[in-house]
Amino acid sequence: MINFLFTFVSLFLVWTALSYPLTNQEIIFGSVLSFLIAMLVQIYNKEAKRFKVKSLYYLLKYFVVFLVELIKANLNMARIVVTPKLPISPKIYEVKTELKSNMAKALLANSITLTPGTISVDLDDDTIYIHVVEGANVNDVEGLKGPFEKILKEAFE
Amino acid sequence: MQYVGWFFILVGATFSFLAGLGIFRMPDILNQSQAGTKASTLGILALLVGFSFLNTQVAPKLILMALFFLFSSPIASYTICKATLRRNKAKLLLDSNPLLKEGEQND
Repeated sequence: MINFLFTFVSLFLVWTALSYPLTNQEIIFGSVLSFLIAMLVQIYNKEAKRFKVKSLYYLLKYFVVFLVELIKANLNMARIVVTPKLPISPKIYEVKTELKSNMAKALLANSITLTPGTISVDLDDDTIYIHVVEGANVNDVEGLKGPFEKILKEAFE
Repeated sequence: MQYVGWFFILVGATFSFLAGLGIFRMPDILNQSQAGTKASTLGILALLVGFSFLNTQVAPKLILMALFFLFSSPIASYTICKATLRRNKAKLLLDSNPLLKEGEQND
């Protein structure tokens, strides 16, 4: 039931955003359409995990942390690009992750790409290969994952 | 309202410019995609936020676009990097600092 509700609400929000100055007709059509699609998903996707309200909170938290890190990453990158000597010393590190679900791993790799000075270049089972632009300054390889692994673990497991 | 919008657009344009400069200055593909992905993501995000301040009618659509961009641009960079790695994986992983030593072979 909660899965159905979540699908319905998110579909309807996307519909609202896409046809923003809403008329009554559009509201009715959108809710009917979202209802039908949510029903179909409910019927055909039986083994889906039960959606937890707690993970919504953690996803929001993830998003806020992510935006802050994104801005830091950009300032860092701007500093490197503007410096005339181009202070780079690229290296590739291997990092193990504890996350199990594919979605969580993909999100972790995405957020590593957008955190300061690091980019994920390959994902092999539970190993992430991380390319670091200032490899000479790395002391703690686990720290490359940033604060995201903990939050994603709470959200998806 | 208008000034906030223009401010965001200025920030976005600056970061997009820095992304271009980064791609121009970096020596090899992995570093280029470092610069390109990060700066252009924030640049386009700021541009879209700025536009949505200027024209509130289309703001929800622009926010959806921004969210989509936030997820799709790391994936694009990941694919490019993975292709580069496939091409010379052994070389990249064996040597601890290979890209600077043999930069001209990695393009």
